[in-house]
Order: sequence, then C-alpha cells, then structure tokens
Amino acid sequence: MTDAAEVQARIIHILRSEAQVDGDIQAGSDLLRDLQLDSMSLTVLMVGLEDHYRVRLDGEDAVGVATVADLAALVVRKSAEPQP
Amino acid sequence: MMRGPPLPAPHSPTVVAALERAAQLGTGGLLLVDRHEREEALDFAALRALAERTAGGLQALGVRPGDRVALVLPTGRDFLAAFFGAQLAGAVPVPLYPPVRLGRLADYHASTAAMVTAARARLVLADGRTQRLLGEVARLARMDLGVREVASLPAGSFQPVAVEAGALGVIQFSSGSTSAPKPVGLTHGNLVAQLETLRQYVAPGGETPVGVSWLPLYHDMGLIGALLSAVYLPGKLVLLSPQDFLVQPALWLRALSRHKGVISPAPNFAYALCLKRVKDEELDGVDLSGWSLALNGAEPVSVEVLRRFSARFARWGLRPDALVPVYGLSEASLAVTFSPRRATPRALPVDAQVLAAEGRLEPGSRELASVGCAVHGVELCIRDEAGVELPPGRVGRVHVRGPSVMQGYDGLAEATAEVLRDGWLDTGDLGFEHEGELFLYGRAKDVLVLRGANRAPQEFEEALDGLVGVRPGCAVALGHVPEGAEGEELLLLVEALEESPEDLEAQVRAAVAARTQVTPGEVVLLAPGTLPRTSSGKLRRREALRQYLAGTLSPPRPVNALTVGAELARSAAGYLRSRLT
Repeated sequence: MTDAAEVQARIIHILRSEAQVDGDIQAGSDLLRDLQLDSMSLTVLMVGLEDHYRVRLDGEDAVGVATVADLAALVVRKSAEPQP
Repeated sequence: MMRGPPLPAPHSPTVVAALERAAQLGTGGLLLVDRHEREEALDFAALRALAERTAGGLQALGVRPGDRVALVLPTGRDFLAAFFGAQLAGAVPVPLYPPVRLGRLADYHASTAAMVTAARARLVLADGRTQRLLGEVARLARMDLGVREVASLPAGSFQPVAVEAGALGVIQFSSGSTSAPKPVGLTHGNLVAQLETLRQYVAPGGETPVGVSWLPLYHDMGLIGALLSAVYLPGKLVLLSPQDFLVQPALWLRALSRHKGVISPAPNFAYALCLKRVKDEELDGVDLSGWSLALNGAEPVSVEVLRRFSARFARWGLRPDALVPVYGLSEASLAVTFSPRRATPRALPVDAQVLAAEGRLEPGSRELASVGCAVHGVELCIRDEAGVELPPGRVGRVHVRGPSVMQGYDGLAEATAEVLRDGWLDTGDLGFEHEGELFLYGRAKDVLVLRGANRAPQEFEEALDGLVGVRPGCAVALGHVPEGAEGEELLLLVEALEESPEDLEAQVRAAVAARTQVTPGEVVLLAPGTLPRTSSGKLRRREALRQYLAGTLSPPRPVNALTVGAELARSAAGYLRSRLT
C-alpha cells in the first residue's frame, strides 16, 4: 500500500532534484500557481512518479488535481487499482 | 539577394515513391528506442508493409484520395503506420500534437478541434491511450469518420492509388503571422524538393549518415528533417520520443554514441537543457566524436549556448565544428539556410541598440550567430515594410523563394495572399545579410518561439484578464533573447494602475505560469499610456519591443496647455521644413 505522505516526499524530491524548484513546497502548494511549474517540469514530475510507482497518469486523471496533496492522492488511488 | 546552388532533380517524384525505393533498396531503416533504451528495428520494407495494411484499412473505411486524415499519436509504430498509410492511400496526413500531461484539457480539446476543422479532416487516428481523450474533439469538430484507433482499423486489401507530385503530401500547422494556427499545405513535390535539398547538405558524396532524433513528428524538423529524410536517402534513423528526451536528456547523447550518429537536429533549448540536466555519470563510456552535424534551428540560436555546449561535451569527444546553426520554417517545408561547415559557429558582435532603433548593423558587444547561406534551390532577400529590397547590413523582413515553399495556407486564400506574393514567401522574421550570410534579429510577426514551439502572444496577455491593478487589455507579450540568455524568453510589458497592489509583478508571473505553464523571463510594469498604439488604439507589440530594446519606451508626458502649445509649434516648424526642402 502506497501512502500519501511518502508520495508527497517523493514529489518534493523530484521537484527539487530534477525540476530545479527552489523555495518552499507544502502539501497545499498549487503546482501551477504557487510552484509555477512549466510544462517540462510537469512532464518530468509525472514521468518520475509513473516510473517509481508503476502507475499511468493520464490527462483525464488530472482533472481536479491542483496541489501537491491532490497529486499524491491521485497516485495513491492509481496504485491501489488493479494493474492493466 | 542570397542565392543557393541549383537543386538537382529529386530521385523520386513523391514521398510514396521514395518509400517504395527505400523498401526495394533494403538499406537503412528505423530504430525505435524507449526510455529504458530497449530498441525495436523497423526496416523500410516492413514500414512499407505496415503502411499498406493501414492504407487498406483506411480505404475500407471509405477514405478517398485527397481526404485529410488527422494523426494524434506519439512517436512510435502507430504514427509511422498512420502517416505512410494515409499517404499510400492518396490521403493527406495532418499530424497534430498529442494531449499534454496535466495540461489544460479543455484548451487542448478546443485547439485540437479547431485544427481538425481547419484541415477539414474526415477522421482522427489515435491509439488506445489518446483515443480516450479525444471524445470531446470529435464532438466539437464532427469528423464524419470519427476517431479511430490505428490498431482497430477494419481489415481491407489495399488498392494501389496513383499519387501525383502536385498532390498534397502533408498539412502541418504553423502559427503564421497572427494568432490562430494555420494549415500549411505542402505537396509531394515540395517535400521531395526539400528532401533533395537536405541530401545535398548531409550526404553530398552519396554516403548515408546515421541520424538520431527525439523531435516531435508533428513538427517539420522531426517529421521532414529526420523521418522523411531517412526514407528519402534511405538511411538509418534512431527515433526517441520527445517526452523521454525532456525527462532524461542524456538518452539523446547516449543514443548518438551507441549508434555512431552523424546527424541530429534540435532547437537551441535542447542544447541548453543538456547543459543543465545531463549529469557526467550518465555519460560513462559515451563517445560523441562521430556527431558531425549537430544542427541547431527552429528558434533563435544563442552563441553562448553553442560555446558552452561545445566546451562541456568536448570531454566526450564532441568536435568543435559539430554545431551548425540553421534556419527554416514550416511554410518553406523546412530548411532555408544552413551554416557552411567551418571550425566553429560564426558569431558577429553587433550594437543591439542601434540594430533595434535604426535597423542597421554597427559593431558592438551583442553577439549574433550566423544561420548561414541559402540552401540548394533557395533564393532569399531582405525587404523593408514597403517591399523594397534592402542592401546588406540593413534589417528587414526575410523573404524566401524556392521549390519547397508551400502552395499556401490550406483553404485560406486571404491569409495566403498576405504572405505569398509572386512566389516569394514573407517569413515574418527579421534579419540582415552580411557577407553572404543571414543573421536573424527578431520578428515582424507577433509570434513567440519558446523551446522550439510557436506561441501566440494573446495566450499570455489573456492570462492577465481580471488581475486587479493591471490596466485591462493593456499588456503585451513578446519574445526576445536577452543578452546572455540561453534562448528566447517571454517578456511582458504591462501597464499598471496607480493604485495597484505592491506584489503585482509576482501576481502577473503566477497568473501567466498557471494559465500557460510558461514562466516569464521578465515582467516590466509601466505607467498607463506607455505602450505604443495605432491610431485606432490597438497595441503595437513589435513597436513596443523595439522601443524597449532601444531604451526609448517611456510614459506619455502629462498633457497640459503648455505641452500642447509646444507640440503645435513643433509640428508647424516641421510643416515649414517640409515646404522648404
């Protein structure tokens, strides 16, 4: 079982090491508005999560995902689904 | 006027014939590489067979010669089957970009539907993954054959179709000179002329250099410059997906090393991305010494990035003469100029202020990269706004003529007439000629080129709608390459109200990033009335940039009886002078 706190830590790790995001990153940080991730950083983040948790995150899953916590919850939900 | 050498006749009249030839010759082929560096080979005979199966399926669906078939597919077998299958059936493939992750799906649906409609596509071909995201596009664009998966096209035996050189071979989208993307119609004749032009440069002695490309196949440089070029030569091409490259840029350099790649094109940002993101330990055992044509095009070339890339990767054998700045655009199929092979890229130090303010060349401290000389079959000249040809050293609009120039924007006679006159294409790019070579400096059209992608300024300006403190509708988005920057950046000139919030600049940045996923390079807040306007009150973007770069962008002087009097006196004096001379 993947837990949300661990996914959040992974998100923050990817953002810091791969997407060069400095400054404060919180569970409630909005990916676009607060962290100002550009399309490339988002791709790096999504693929990093997909690789690590062996899930697929499609555009339609992303509806309603705004914050770091939302994204972590999505990954948790996806990894609980049966693998295709 | 700059003129390339004469272009020999292409060996095949159409891309379909070129694929047939490649399948028979049996040399070269494609190699698809995934992000775990697993590889799948596809020779041209297998590609031809794949295309034939798809063409049969399309015919069974009712697709006829001349029909347009949109492709929304990532780099892979399905794309290849769909592209060449459509061509084999005499239809016109229209490659569009696949949905972006976590992107704004509603915006994606609207823009994709607009392109499907503009290209009058009867059908959208997708794969299992993209198809699920295209239902809304089908609803908006109402193609009569809907959205289909390549893998589940009906089985049908392929009926050969005669494809003429004058038939459309592809429709690719360009941002053109204004905002809405326009369908660029290229005939098979345009395409093979372009492919012969490329062959003259990359394989002058008839050898077939190994290519490596991660460029998107819905973009001219990846589609025509890499994929179709490999079919035409025929040569070996190693294909990676753009997304894999973005996530792990080292995959590109490692593929070049593994397969002894000789030619690989990319936009400036890709070279900058490698400098930033590739780690030394990812390049263990890598040898880049075979890479002799690292073409750099599709966006402004930064001299600084060229130098740093050369210096950093020399350790892995990169040759100092490998980096080759080039220039092209989708309306011309692709290539317009190529740098001659020389020891290092040529940089010309110019005075940026004089260039911006007066449009002429003066020595200075800002270095511009030469993008080289006209390629085979291409004529090029620089003209002023009135269409008069300018001498070397004077900045004007770059005009191009040649056999690869498009027939026009498909179905858009008016937009075509704006850019095509007597066979001359007005590129909308600004530049000057110096010692027979082209140097680019800015654009006359309102388009930004960020990371190789053309973006409309309205996208960024609209992100500021409703922001408290911004004068409504009084902001312009511009692209330019600041001195010392790695590439073109987004510059926002924004008129702020007097009672605006203190953190307005940060708010502007956040709003633009959230809406467009582009981080502005610079945000400049201006007093109301500073931005130049036309007599009808429309903002003049290029003039604003020119004034900004020349350092003359300033707020209007307060108007009172005295200044009005002074203006009247000046204009009276001007009137008198005009009468006396």
